[in-house]
Parts: sequence; structure tokens; C-alpha cells
Amino acid sequence: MLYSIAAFVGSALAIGLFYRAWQSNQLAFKRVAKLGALGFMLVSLNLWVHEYGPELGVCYAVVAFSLQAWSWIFLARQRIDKDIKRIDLPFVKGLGMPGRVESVNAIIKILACVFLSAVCAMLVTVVWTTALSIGKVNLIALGIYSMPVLWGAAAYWLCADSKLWRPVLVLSGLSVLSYISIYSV
Amino acid sequence: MRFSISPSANKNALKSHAWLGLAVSVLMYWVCLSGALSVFSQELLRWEQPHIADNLDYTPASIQTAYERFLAMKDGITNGNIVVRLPTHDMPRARISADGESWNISPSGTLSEPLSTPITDLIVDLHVALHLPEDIGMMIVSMLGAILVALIISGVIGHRRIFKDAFRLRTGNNEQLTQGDLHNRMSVWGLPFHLMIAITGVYFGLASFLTSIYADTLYDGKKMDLFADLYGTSIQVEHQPKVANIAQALSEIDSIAPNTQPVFVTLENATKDNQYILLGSQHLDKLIYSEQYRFDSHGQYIDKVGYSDGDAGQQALFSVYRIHFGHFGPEAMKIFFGLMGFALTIISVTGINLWLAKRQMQGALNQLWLGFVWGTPIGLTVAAILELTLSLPPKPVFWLVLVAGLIASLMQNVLAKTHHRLLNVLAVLLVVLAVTHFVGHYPDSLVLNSVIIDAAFIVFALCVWRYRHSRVRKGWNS
Repeated sequence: MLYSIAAFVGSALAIGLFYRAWQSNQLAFKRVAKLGALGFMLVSLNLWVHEYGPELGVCYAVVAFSLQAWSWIFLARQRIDKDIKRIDLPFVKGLGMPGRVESVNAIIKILACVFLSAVCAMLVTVVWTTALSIGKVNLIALGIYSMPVLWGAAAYWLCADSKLWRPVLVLSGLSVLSYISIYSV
Repeated sequence: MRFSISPSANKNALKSHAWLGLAVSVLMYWVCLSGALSVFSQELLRWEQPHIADNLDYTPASIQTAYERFLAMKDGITNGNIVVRLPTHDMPRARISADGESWNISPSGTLSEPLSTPITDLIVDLHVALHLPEDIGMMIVSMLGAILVALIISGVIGHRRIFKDAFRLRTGNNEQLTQGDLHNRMSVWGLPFHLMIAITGVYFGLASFLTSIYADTLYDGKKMDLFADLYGTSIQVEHQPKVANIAQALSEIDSIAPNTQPVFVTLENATKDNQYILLGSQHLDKLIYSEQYRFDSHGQYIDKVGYSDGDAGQQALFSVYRIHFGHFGPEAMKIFFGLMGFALTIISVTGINLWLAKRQMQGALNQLWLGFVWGTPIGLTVAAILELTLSLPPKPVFWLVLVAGLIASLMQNVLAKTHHRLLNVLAVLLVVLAVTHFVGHYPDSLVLNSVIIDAAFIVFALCVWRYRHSRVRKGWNS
């Protein structure tokens, strides 16, 4: 219990130091405070792990840190009560349907984000994880945990690139290459 | 060396963030809101049947009696496995189920009454499969997990002032500023949690596709071999008695695995010649759902599957459920997970609100979004009230109310009026729900779990009312 309290206080101090660093204009103080905050974070993490083991300890550390940060932000909120005139935006009737080109583009994007990104992420994940020299079970677990990140990155790129054909081409190419690498051996 | 993201990458990331957010807006909101509520599914189960006493004093003999009674009721034959859920501190009730039928067990071993939890099912099924057929629904929800990862990536790249604004929350008269700050601060400081929720969320509906490719690559297409490696091989037993000795297995587990918490008993191949007992027991220092200890039908220990001391990967896979729902550690962890889930819900709502505000006009999209945001909790609450009072099926009621809410929102062009009416309705309904449950189940509703949940509804109603009041005070009511 004492370790838990110490860990909780440690992460609160870390947040406090981060806050002071954020507030300060002095570069030297900022650096020291940030280093100190990182130190407290590590100490806090160690204490959580010491008390509850590595699995639960890491979870408690993450949850405590996020909640303390939110609490700190809430307590340090700035109230701006300037007499800002609320502008009533004009009301436009109807749904304002997009044009044909825009709609087709949107459908391609959605399909690519959902299907192409998924297929590419899965195939690429299998290729890169099976290249590692670790046990089968571990590499499958690594793949299951990392595949969503690749999928998300692919979906992000599809929507961020101004030229849709670029990510579509690259993701399709990667998918084909990965497929060949997996199924031609 | 200074790390910075170019303005064009920044702009593109924001474009991507907005596009993806809009594409999944309503679905993401439903999954986040119902997910935050699903964290408390065990408490809601108990709240729905408060007359069933919470009790941890079950003996192996009483579980055995209940199992034998259940078996007699099924004329000694079941098609699937028989599962006994054992009482634990977070769910101090026992139940037995097979072939889609589930019964509560009293501490004396009698089958008290069937498990009936339509309100919890309404919420959990919305989170798990959006009330769609399970296979399709789970896939869609899992895809949302991947899109959430994409939103996190684009959000981080697109957030130019991620460090400069790290602690800034401006409240007051400028609604757009407040919503932007809330959206960004909650996202950034909750990032590890959101990422973990997204990644583990993908697992439930889509891991099977990935394991199929792994089976082709590493196991010559033999999926069963892959499952044997990941989930353990099944054992072969023969000439087993038809009535298993669960009591013996439960009595033995304390010596086989001390300091663990038995959570379930499954009779694999139940009522068949090759049936055996699988006893799941939670290791309290680990995140895996449970280690599985196997016994023959006589209750003689055979072996354990080996998750608790297996490969790190195997343990990681078996930890997905508890990490995703926060079902580990003390009861406070659930509250933390619930809060984090609500934060994700707020993030999804404020994100769309910001996009709508930037359009510099109002229209049907604003009306519909308002209808979805407040119509969903209203629909859930009405469905719960009508289930409690008239036993109406909650799912159709929920969708009918939601559609009605959307139509009503579309009929009112002054958004502030719609907003305030919806807030009023929700606040009143939450109070009605708490009172209906309390009165309808009195005096059983005096148990701590029910009192806390009913009180929570009143607190939510007060929060909604306060939010409405603050808008009125700022003059945003017309």
C-alpha cells in the first residue's frame, strides 16, 4: 500500500514538474524540470511494478498518469469571460450533397482505408514478423498487436496524400509483393 | 537537433484526421459510449436482478448440486459445453449455462431463476457488434479500432502545438475554443490508453484473418496446429462418467494453484463419453484472463494448459480481454476505465463539433449530429425504462426512439432549442430511470450495488442539467 501511495505521489510530482516547465520561460529551468519529471515518472513506474508486478504495474502507472494530468489541466484551467458576441451561423436547408467526382473519390478512399489497408497491413505484418528469429507464438502475438498500427498508418496516408493514386499504388504493390513472398515459397 | 513536422505534413494530417473522423463519426461515438458503459457490465447485470442475493459463500458441493439439477432439467443431454460462472468479488453470483440457456445458482445449489439481463445486453451488444449479426458487427467494430489508430496517428502529426498547449484548457464564453482544448488535451494525455483500446479492439473481430495467413505461412495451412500452439491442445479422454465431479476439481484447485481465483468451470464435450473439466482460475498478479486447469470427469487433475507460464506472446494474447475492459485490479480500476471511455466519447463528439463549427454555417448535418449525440443516451434510457416497467424488448425501442429523436432534431431549425430540449429530456429520463428501478425493485434495490448505480443516474442527470444551465447562463438558449 505504501508503495502505491508513493507511486501515486511520484507521478503527481512528475505532472507538477511538467506543468512548471511548461509555464516557465527560462530555458535552463525548463530542462531541469523536464528531466526531474521524467525521473519521477520512472521512479513512479518502478514503484507500481514493485508493488503489483510488471503487468498490472505498467497499467496502473499509465492510468494514474493520464488521470492526474487531466485533473491538473482541469484545476489549472483558464476562465475567459470576455464578452464575446456569439455569432449565429446562417442556417442552410438541405444536406448539400457532394458532386459525383467527390463522391467517387470518397468511396474509393473508404474502400481503400477499410479493405486495401487491412489486406496490406496483414500481409506485410506476416512478412516482417516471420523474418524475425523468435518463437512462432511470440511472432504471431507481435503481429496481432502491431498489425492495427500498420493498418492505421496506411489509412492515415490514404487520407492525407493529396494524390490518392500514390498510396493506393504503393499499398497495392506492397500487398502483391507480400502475397508473393508468403505464398510462392 | 530540433524535431518538427513540416506545415504541409501538418495540414495533410489534419485533413486526414477530419476525413477519417467524419467517415466513422456516428459509429465511433456509439462504440465509445457503449464501451464506457460496458466496463460496468457486471454491475449492471446485478442491478437488473437485484433480488438475486450477492454471495461468495458457495461450496464445491453446492456448485455440484446446481450442475446436477441443471443436467436433470436438460434430460442429461446438451449440445454444447456446460459453463459454470463461479462467484468472484466483482461478480458475487454463480450461474450455469448451456445451449443458450443461463440460470442463476443460489448458494444452496438450487437453480433460482434464468439469467435475464436485456438492458445490459442492449449496451454490450451495441459495443460488441452494433446490434448487427455478430460476425459482421464484430468485424465493423474491429475496423473502427484500426481507424482509431489512424485518427491517433493523424491527430499527433496534425497537432502543431502539442507541447506548447500541453496544459491549456480555456473555458468560458468561447465554446469552440473550449471544445478544441478539451479534444486535444484529453486525446494527448490519454494517448497510451486510447492506443491500447484501439489495438486490443481490432483483435476481437479480425485476428482470425491474420492467424489464417500465419497458418498458411508457418503451419502449412493447418490452422488447428496454430491454435494448438496459441491456445493449447485439447486432451483426449475416454469412458468418462456422464455426471462429472466438479466438486472434486474445485476442492483440489486450492492445492494445485494456491493464491488464484477460480472464475469458471467448463465441461468440454459435455454429457459425452469424452467429457472433461476445464477449470479457469485467475492469477491475480497477471493480466491473462485465467489459467486453465484440466481434470477428468472423476475430478482427477490431469494438467494445465500453460498460459500463466507460457511464452510472452501467449500471455499477451490472453490479456487482451482484461486490458480492453479494465477488468483487473481493484474496483476503482473499472471507474478509471469508465472515465477514460467517457473521455474517448467526449473526444469523438468534440471532434465533429469542431468540424461542424468550421463550416461557418448550420444545416441538416448539425441537426442530425445533435440528434445522434443526445438521442443515443435518450434511446438507451427510454429502452431501459420501458423494459423495467412494461418488459418491452429494449433493442427495437432504442432504435425507434433514436429515429424519433433524429426526426425531431431535423424539424427544429434553431439548434440551441433542440440542444436544450434534448438535454432536458435526458436529465428527466435519467431521474425517471433511477426512480423506476428503485421503486420497481424495492426493497431489493436497497443493496449497495443498486443504490450506487441508481445514484449514479441521478448524478448524471445533475451533470446534464448543470451543462444545460451553464449554456442558458451564457445566453446560448435561443
